[in-house]
Amino acid sequence: MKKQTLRDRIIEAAYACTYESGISKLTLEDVAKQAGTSRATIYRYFPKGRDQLVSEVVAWAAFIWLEGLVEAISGIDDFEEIGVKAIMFAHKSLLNHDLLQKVLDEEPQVILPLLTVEASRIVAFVHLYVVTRLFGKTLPEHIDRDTFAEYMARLLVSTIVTPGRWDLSDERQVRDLVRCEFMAPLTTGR
Amino acid sequence: MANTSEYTELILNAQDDTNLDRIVDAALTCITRFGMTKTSVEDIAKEAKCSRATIYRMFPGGKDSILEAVVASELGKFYSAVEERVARIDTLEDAISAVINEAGLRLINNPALATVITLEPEVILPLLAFERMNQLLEFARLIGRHLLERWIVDEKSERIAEWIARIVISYSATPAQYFDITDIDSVKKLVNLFVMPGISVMNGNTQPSNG
Repeated sequence: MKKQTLRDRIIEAAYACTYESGISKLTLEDVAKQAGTSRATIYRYFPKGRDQLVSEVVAWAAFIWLEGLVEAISGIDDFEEIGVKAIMFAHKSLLNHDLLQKVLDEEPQVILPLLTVEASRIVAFVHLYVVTRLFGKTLPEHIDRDTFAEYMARLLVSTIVTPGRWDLSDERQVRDLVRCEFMAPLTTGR
Repeated sequence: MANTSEYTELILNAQDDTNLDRIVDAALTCITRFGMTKTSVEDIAKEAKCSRATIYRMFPGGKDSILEAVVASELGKFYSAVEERVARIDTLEDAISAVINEAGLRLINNPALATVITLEPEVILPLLAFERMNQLLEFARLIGRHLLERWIVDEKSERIAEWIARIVISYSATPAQYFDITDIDSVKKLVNLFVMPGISVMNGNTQPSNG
């Protein structure tokens, strides 16, 4: 197991404190106490203070979430299956994410701008992930790997964050969505 | 903030009351200058060259209802521009490209929107995720049904409209490395490569893959 640094411990402590206080009322005193350190030490790692710590916590939580997502689809080879599994897992894990749902419910005006910023980082991550999964696959020659990966990443994140007309817990619907909106460029002859 | 059907109603009942228009235009000018939060009824009155009393007579709800009228008026202009562009087009493929391009240009080049995004991102960003974005998608499905009715009559038009809206919102909100929503040739290519195959599968025309 990776050795936990003090920086990690502060972030995890802040995450834990957010359960109690929410984001607006999170104080560095509470975080310091929870992490067994001092406010001065927190400022050494996060010189801009509370706001910086909060956005680092959001980035950290997003990373943990993405790790789980990648694990859920590792080992699947078929692209349609990857798409279906990824969307359904992502949807379910966001709904079951207690802290996310709590802050969305209680402090939407605080968390939503942070999440929108985070979403563009997630798009960049998904873009890279799609590119790596496309290696070794023969794409139809009119399709550029990066343009397609970027498009997929944007559409995926948009759908997961806001399902719109789709019930993402219904596999039949998700498969229909993946076949048409997502994978058709790869499966239709031209 | 009004919900989608209220916006729609406001757009459909577009007023030709000049006093009302003058106040809405003045409010838009003020928003472009100061942002939504810092614009006061006083500023709007000065800009419209009328008294605060006149404004409150037209908008008893004060600043909030003026802002709602501004949003409705902007959505109305947005819809007319897209509709006008689609009117001159023959094929579904070109219509979808035109909608994406026109919507992207309108969003990116709207000076009031640019001010609000720069000065008060917290006003706009929440609209782009979760429940609030569902309202935008609902609006898109509604106008999409009208815009695409020459080519698609069934519920697929709403599905395609929502898809188009996701593309427009994503590529207008953050610029892309491999695609330029303001360039019609770039848009046509994206629609041809990624959207049309999906519509063809939706219509049951699957051709076997070669890979």
